[in-house]
Amino acid sequence: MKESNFAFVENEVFRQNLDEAFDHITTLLPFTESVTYNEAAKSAFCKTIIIYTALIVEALLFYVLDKKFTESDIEDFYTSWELKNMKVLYSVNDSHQIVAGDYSRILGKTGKEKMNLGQIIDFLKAKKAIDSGLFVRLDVIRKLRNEQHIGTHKKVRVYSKKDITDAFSIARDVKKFVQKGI
Amino acid sequence: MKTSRKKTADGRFVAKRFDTKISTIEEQYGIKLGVRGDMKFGNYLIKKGYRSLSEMLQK
Repeated sequence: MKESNFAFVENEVFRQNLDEAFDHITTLLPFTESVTYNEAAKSAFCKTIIIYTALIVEALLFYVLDKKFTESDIEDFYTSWELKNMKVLYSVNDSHQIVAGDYSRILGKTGKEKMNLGQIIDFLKAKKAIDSGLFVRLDVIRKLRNEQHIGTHKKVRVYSKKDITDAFSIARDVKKFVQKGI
Repeated sequence: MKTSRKKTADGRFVAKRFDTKISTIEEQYGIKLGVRGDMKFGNYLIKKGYRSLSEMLQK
């Protein structure tokens, strides 16, 4: 327990997974500083570091979500209403109609373990578990990670020290936030 | 990249700590970091501008 960089995490397996991801980051980091590697290789190391840092952020936020909210809270959050058998009673204009029909509540189908980083961030923000300042910063790391595989890909982006220090700064704040809140 | 990371008796990795010596890291991964070998990893991170990461390491 003493050896862990995430000693506040009670679940031993979870703590071990976090430690291994964090250890991998600290293993890769010196390679980005080493003269042995060219810029393309260093950028590739940075990409992996960003992915692993986002993984830690996601895992810590999931830890908060799992501790503070139930499956039923998630179900409620994703619940929506659906109008079936709609009949137009009166057309006010092109963009406004008075209608009748069966209006039913559709329970959310997403469970905790199916949620991705974006969904976790949105949920915690909506439930006021994170403030808007942290929400904005979390979106930065989410985009940093996602743009590696999702996006327009108009040019090959080179990742640098600035990108990983931004990611580390966000991860540190999330770690502090989780440590304080649990 | 060798992965001769230290393990506990039950085979789990030991988390890297603030006070790990640079010489240990250089030896483990076969790289030169251009600082004194007895410098602590946490201090190396601060010197190189990685204060946030350093602060995430347990001292």
